[in-house]
Amino acid sequence: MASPAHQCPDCQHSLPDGCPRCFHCGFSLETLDGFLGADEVILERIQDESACFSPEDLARLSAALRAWDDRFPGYFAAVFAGRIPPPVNARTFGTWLLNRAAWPGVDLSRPNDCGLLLVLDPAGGELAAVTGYAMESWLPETMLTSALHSALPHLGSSQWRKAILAVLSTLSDHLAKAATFAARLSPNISRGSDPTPLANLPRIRRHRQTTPPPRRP
Amino acid sequence: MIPLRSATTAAALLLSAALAHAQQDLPADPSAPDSPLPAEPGETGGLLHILPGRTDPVTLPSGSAPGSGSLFPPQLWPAAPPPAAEPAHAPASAPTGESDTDMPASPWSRECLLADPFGTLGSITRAHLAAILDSGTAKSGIALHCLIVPDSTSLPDSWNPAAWIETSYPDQPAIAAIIPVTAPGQAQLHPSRSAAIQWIHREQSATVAACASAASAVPGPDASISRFLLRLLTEINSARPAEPNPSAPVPAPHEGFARWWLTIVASQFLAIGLGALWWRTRQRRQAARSPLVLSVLPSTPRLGAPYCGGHSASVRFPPAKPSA
Repeated sequence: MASPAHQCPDCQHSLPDGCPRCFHCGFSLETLDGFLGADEVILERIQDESACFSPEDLARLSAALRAWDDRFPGYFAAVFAGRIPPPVNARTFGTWLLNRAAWPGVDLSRPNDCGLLLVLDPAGGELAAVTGYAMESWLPETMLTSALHSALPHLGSSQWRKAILAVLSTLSDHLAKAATFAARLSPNISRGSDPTPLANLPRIRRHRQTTPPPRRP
Repeated sequence: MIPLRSATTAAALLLSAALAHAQQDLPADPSAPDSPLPAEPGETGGLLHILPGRTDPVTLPSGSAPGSGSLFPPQLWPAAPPPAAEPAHAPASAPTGESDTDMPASPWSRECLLADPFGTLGSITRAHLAAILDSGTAKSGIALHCLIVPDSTSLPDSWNPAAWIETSYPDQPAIAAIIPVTAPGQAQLHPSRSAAIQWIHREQSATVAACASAASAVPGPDASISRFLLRLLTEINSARPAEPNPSAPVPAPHEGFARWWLTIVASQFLAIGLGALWWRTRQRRQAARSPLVLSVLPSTPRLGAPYCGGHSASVRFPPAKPSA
């Protein structure tokens, strides 16, 4: 599977592999650390800072995230809903979270680069999907955009739970098709419960027991 | 009509005599001394003297005597029936006691539906009724044999219609009818043993009465008998049990087995189809629940980020109004 083209999350210009910062705008993780801090944060699988989810919504979303974990071993999904500070948009904030956050509810076999983070800013009117390095090949940005567009009808009516579930469902279906297609192409990619490919994954994820960042108004 | 018939008869006689003379053996020499003398004036064959080589008077074939009008076929020239005409299937005299020896053994015949041994009907009427009976029999499938008698006198034992109909039509539907010309209401109907016409036994009187009533409406024996037979044919056809519709599909003996076999095969195909559908649905549900292993493809870190290089997408929507 060819490596897809990447874009800068800040200026949407193309980014070659291995570049330390955006050649166009100079964006890098250090830039984000300058705004948000370089401390590592601990988040829940569904971090509802804006209190936009009801307990029923939280239960439904937790079930959907568990189904995601069961369907795709080694990968995980998380949801962050809150007010994003103005200099940072949802994409750059999600990029910073996926690099600096830790989810205690996620086991060690699912590192951050295998994660999918949905960032919802109801007050700012933005929904973003951010993936780690391991999911870049499976979920190209066009697919992410398509999945986010499927949630637009619910976002317009402030049905946040339905919007998140729509995005997760669309991405799950796409991942299933991609995995089935890849299994047909390559016999080394097994389909089923054989965790052999995941056994050789580098354990690059570490739990960081640090204090969460202070809540911003 | 009489002068025209006489003139036509005379012309036909002349033509017939000429033809007969031409076909008969003529003398080798027409000028032989034994030529016939001229006929006497007033004789019937007064014009024969103009025919050469004629030795004998012309002898017309029997039944074509001049004056009877029968030189032509009776269908073309209906003449009054000769009093001594020979009936087609009958003796010349009535079945009296002293003349029984001259009568045929039986007037009934499978080939002839109309028997008129006493010559009661005219030849035209007889042929007409025979054609009607043939047509009715072919249409209804019930052979109607009619014996026309002058009156309701007793018939010889050899003419018993019941015995003859049972012998000739043991299994087929057939009716033997004896119709007195002077008393059609005393006609007798004798059906065969076929179950299709057993209604004759219980409705014979009503049927005969209806036919006699129809026959009494017209004068003359020929017309009344014709009306009687037509009404009898109508009654037979109307009382006939409804036959199965020939256009309807008649179930063949093997159709039950074929239908049973078709049902079995269709059931098996349906069961196989439903099973395949259930299996497909089950496979899809299992595939939807089964874990999918996604291989981890190598990727070079970007932007100095260890886990996420900014691979993302976003959409904007109208901001939600803050709740009070």
